[in-house]
Amino acid sequence: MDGEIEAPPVAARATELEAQAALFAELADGFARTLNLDATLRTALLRIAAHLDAEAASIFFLEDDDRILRCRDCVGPVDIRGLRIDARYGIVGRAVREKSCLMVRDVRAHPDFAASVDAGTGFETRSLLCAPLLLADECLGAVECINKRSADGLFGSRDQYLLSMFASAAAMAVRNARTTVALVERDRIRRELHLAREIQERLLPDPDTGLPVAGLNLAADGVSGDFFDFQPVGAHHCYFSIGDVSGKGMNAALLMAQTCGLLRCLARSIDDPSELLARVNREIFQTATRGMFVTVVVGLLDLQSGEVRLANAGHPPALLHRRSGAWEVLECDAPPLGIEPDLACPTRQLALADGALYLYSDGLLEARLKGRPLGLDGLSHWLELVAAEPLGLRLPRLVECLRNNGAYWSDDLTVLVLEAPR
Amino acid sequence: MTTPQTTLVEDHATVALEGDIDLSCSQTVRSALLAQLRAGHAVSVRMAAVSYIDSSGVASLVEAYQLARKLGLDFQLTEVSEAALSVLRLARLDRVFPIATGSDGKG
Repeated sequence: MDGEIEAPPVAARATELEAQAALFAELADGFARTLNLDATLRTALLRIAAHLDAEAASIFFLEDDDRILRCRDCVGPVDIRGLRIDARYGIVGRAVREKSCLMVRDVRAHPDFAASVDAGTGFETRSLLCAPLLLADECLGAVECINKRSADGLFGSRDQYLLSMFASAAAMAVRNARTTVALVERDRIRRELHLAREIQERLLPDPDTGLPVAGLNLAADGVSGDFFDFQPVGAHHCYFSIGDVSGKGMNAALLMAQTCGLLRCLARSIDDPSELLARVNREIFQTATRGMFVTVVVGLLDLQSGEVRLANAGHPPALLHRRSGAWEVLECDAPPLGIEPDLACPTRQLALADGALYLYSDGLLEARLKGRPLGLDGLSHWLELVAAEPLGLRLPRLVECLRNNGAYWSDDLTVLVLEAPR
Repeated sequence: MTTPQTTLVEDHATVALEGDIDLSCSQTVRSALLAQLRAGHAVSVRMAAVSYIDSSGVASLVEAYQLARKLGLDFQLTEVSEAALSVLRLARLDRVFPIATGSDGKG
């Protein structure tokens, strides 16, 4: 391996202290500027080994919940990169556990010396200097120098001091490199969430269909587990749906997309909401994992008669607001999709007449106003206040009113409103 | 909430939940329930002290219920608090989970 250790370029007139300071400045500068930690570690190991006149040097990182010390790089006659040592044993293990720099002048006499490593490599370790890679709150591993070549073959306190300084600079560089990797990963996840949200928004229906339906979806945090949909079916019907997938994040977003897509596709050929839910339930039951489920309302609005047929599986009750001011609460009739292999969710029939039908996700019921959840009474109160708004403006106006009055929510918020065609 | 408290009598584990069962702890609840079922124990989930349960908490119960059925083990909710029961009722989940009213797990 390319581990030749060269003599340090110390200027003839420089004092030893100046040489140490120069070396440390050079190493610290290299660590601070590096974009390639491995290359910088390699250069730094060569420099420190040369400066301490060591036969070999290596750097170990803690892995597997700090149980294992693995050699990340080394310089010297034997290549031990990738070597794994149980962190409970050996001199390196002790330096890490005790968080102190150990200087061992005769390793054979030391109780912690792991002779098996030498036995495996054929290298003979005589003296050793080992410093932990310490940060304020944790130890990342250790760096060690082996077999001083000059004089009596023993490391001294000057060497100990230099290696400790080196270890501090290296620990910071390792931390920086890991933070950079974490930031890049976070940025990648953020980009993917953004793309997923874009796809979700494309799943929402075109608001300008001319159908007497309007919907609104506000994602609380990136991607949404809620959906709503409405599409013309045949010449005289409008299919509509609203749903909420349990849980949050990407798995909820994927299940949301699957459910929304299945319903929209099958609604073209199945005109009974009960049967539609039974069919989609079977698919969701097969694919949903970790107890995930979907609460959903699907229905068909007859654009000529104003008659609605709907089925509600586990979703909050639909609210029917009559022009007279009366409210009807239409509770759900079956548990959510994805829990049982078979779902019997009856179809309800109702005449929309001159009323408006509101469907919404539980995020709206749980929105907090004056410290309390909005609930059904609160929701119907605020819906009454915006009831005179034209259909297309009513839901944004509802959200605006709630916000202006200090309401807040942490969940996705989705609402759908239908009226009979005029 | 605090960690779920599990008591094992022969092959029957009672897992007691308390406080808010939401995203912050539903994973812990899930692990506790699944571990008992995988060990071959019937499970009663005691919910007397549950002050709130969100959909992630319900999903943990659903997953345990589904696994119990697959393994042929008994799984039931006992002494469900009014707060939790109202959430389960709203979504008709009271029709899915076996719910016992007595502390001995018999309804």
